[in-house]
Amino acid sequence: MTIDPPATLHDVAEHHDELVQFVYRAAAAPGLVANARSLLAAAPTELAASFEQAMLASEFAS
Amino acid sequence: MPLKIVVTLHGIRTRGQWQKQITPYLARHGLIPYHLDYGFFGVLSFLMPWTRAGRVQWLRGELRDLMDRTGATRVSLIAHSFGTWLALEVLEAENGNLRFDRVVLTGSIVRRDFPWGSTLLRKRWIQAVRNERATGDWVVRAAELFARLAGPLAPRAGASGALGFNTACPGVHDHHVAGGHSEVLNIANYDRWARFIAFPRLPPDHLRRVRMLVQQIRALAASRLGVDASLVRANLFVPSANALRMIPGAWDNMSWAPEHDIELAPDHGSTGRAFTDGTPFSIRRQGGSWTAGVLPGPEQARLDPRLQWVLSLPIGRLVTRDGITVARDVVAVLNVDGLDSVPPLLQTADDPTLKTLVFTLWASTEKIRESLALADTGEPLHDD
Repeated sequence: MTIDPPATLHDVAEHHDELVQFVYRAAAAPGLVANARSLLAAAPTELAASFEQAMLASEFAS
Repeated sequence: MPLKIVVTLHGIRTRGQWQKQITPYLARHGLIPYHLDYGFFGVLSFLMPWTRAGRVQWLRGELRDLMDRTGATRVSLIAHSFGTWLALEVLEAENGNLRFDRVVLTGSIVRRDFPWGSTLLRKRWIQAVRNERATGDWVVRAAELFARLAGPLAPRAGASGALGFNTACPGVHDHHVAGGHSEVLNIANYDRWARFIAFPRLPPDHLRRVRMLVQQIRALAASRLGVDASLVRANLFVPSANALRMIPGAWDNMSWAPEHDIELAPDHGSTGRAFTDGTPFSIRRQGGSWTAGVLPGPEQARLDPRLQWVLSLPIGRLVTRDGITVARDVVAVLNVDGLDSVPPLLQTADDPTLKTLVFTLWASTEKIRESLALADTGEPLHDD
């Protein structure tokens, strides 16, 4: 999988003992969504459709 | 997940023929019907405060007795007309000693300003309400008129069965049709009421779709983490009776039976934190044990001893808050977890590949959220 550098953020994970919290900053959304779509390219259509529905309902549409 | 008892309660000037008709619909969804009958109650009896009070006392006794004998901590309810008023009078009179699970009001004469916010959300005396009303219901309007005109002798009644409640609350679902007082007692509604009460147990249409998506998310996770799919599992936790519990059947590869009955506090472990914080969390076993205090002892003992890692994805509407993406109005948590070893990628939490994968899995839960939202109100799956 190729990761587009602008989509990566180096401060997105916070550690609470052994618990790791995944934090996504909105500024990274466009690159993140593009990478997610490429990851879903070979996934079942239902899963990709679910992802796209989330994008439509959220503020990530691009 | 405990079996649910559904008390049904008829209105005035009837012995509740619908109570007998609804039994098979409740049974289809695994619910236990318990039909109450206080006899034929005429309009004159309704107008007299002492006869109304007598019926309230009768219902208090019936419900206490039922709960004592069954050990149930909550019962669900379907009530019509005067039965709706009786049930909520009892709820308020018991002041927290009685709790309802999920309630269907039909032809309701409960006052329109009933304090759902305090009883439903804050005190959790009721988990959720479906108000089935008919806009042309003159009977409930007459009850409201009587309540206004009769002064201190009047019941605290209102036309919520025609006009709805004016106290909006997230757990109160409003459904209306055109027609009169008995229109809502339409056999076409019975399956929806049973679905509504059975939630979070899912009916077959929603369960099929949810399980398919859970399987697909699990498969994608296994493939991208480079793990044998047989070692990756998935399950769905929802809030139910003050704990987070797995939805029966909405899981994949969960072969360790004790785990099916795990109850988590809403802030325990990665599941609880994902539920309360609205962001994904992961946890992994380090050495011989998990983080001390992550789960209370009895729940920890139910875990599959081979479990090594958990990724918890909160299911809600993805929004941006303070520049951070979070799930709002979280309805469930999807856990993808694994046995025997922790995949190397999961051990590098700051790896962008992992972050992209987690985001992809997280956002792909949207149709699960949609199904859970529909099932929560009793509505069937609409065609895609």
